[in-house]
Amino acid sequence: MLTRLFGRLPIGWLQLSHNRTRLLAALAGVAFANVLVFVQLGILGALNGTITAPYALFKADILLSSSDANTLTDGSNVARVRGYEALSVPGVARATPLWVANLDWLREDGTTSTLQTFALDPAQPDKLIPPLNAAARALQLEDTVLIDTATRGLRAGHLDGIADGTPYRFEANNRTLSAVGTLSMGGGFSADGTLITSDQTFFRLFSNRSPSAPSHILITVVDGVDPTVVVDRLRDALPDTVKVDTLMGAADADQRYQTTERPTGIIFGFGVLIGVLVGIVIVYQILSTDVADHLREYATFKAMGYGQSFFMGIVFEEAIILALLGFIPGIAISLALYVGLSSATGLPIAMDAATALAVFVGTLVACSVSGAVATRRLARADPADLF
Amino acid sequence: MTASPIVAEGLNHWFGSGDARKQAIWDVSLTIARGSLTILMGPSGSGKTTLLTLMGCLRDVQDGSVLLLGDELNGASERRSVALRRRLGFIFQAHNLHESLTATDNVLMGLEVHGRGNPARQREAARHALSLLGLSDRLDYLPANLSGGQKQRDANARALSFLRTNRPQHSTRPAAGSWSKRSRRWAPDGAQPPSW
Repeated sequence: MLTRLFGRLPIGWLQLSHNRTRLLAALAGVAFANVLVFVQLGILGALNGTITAPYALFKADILLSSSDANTLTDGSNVARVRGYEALSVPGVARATPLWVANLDWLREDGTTSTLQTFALDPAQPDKLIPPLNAAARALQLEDTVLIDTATRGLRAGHLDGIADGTPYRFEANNRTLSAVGTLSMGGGFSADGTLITSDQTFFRLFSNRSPSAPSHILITVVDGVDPTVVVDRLRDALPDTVKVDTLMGAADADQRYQTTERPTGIIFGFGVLIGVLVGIVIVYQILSTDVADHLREYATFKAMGYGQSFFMGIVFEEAIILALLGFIPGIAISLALYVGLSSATGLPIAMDAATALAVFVGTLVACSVSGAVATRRLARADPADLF
Repeated sequence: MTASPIVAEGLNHWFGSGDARKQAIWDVSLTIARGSLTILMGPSGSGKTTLLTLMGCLRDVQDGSVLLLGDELNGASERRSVALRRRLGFIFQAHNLHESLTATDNVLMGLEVHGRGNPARQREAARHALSLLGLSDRLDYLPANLSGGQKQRDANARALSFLRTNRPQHSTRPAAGSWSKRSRRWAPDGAQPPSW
């Protein structure tokens, strides 16, 4: 079948399968290179995922923040009055203040979880946070919250059975809180889980926070208006101390900031870079060793009148076979490692098709280029010198 | 055409570079006549293999001239060399069979270099050539499982099998071998393989 495919003997495959031990070693090498890159990409992907996940919680179009705020949790507050000013801008339908803070939850068994707490007025006519819809009325009561069932540090099933009538009570910041509903977010790099509450409960939990100084202001535009147009109008209307961006744009900027300016992001990005470089070196070693091992035989073919394109064909054939057969165990091991890492860290480490495809294509290109580079020696030399 | 297929003139060849540069052959000139069997004799290290590889397009000519089938090899392009190599049958000193190919596949490599013919016919031809050399019971053996003599015969079949499939060209028709132009096969029953 391969003979028909190539229109010649499948030399590459025959060479590879001739020595099973060497083939297995080569495949293990390619698989290892894949695993290396996948793990680094998985960790970086988890960072990116946890950065942008909270933004997806909100059904809003534009985010107003302080000009020195790079993420949802850092920087100064923004004056609530900016929300009222925003309402005067054409195209703005609603402006909702949002408060953000981290709450430490110390449990009876001595374990602690940090909950990233979001608060807004549950009586808002538009429900900005979908999980809040069902529990909006209950949240208007004092000290009621929605809790994250995927919070890191909890044993499985700890928060099962929470409902409006059967709240889960716990203590934090010297107040007894009642969880009347749940959401599932999971932890990130700065918090273990998410908590949603009303603005009034938030002020009781964080007495140093003021109703006049929310962390951010969420803007909803009038139906059918392009949010980017409103963003431009808001930038003109509001002072420079306020940063205006679409919610998606703010999420991207946050991700960019955390992956390029925060140590964690830089380290993970660096890990990907090193992983890719080491992967390329491994693959190059495998292909160039293979070419070197067969140089004598290639020289014979050259002496018989085969041209450089024939050798390129063999090397590409080998590159494709190695990339393909090495990728299968590579991705399988990576998936297993992802599951292990996810359950150990509570981070959303997941494989997506685009990453898998990119790594496969990258492996294929690295294999092919390595093979092509390795055959240069054959192209330069006289066949008689290589026997 | 009466021109000799191989004409060498004033060939010099050196190996190594700098202080280690050593001359291997000095001013060699020879002409090999069409249809002749020429044997090159000399003590070890006298440059026999060097001369053969120069005339066989396996080594760049440094000084002097080699006319191979009317083509000058000194300064010949890679393209030209590749084309000329296909018109030669070179039996290498150490067989140089491909270790992961069977006896038949090794011969096939000698046929496929001339283009993608009918694979079934090429395979049949390769098997036939091996049978003529007494390897009919070793067709699918890897070189590692062949004796030294069997390897030599396999290499011979690889080097000369192209005579059957090669289209006759103006000056390349080999003089040796029981080669039938009409059928482009080895001559049938009773014919002896060419004496190599």
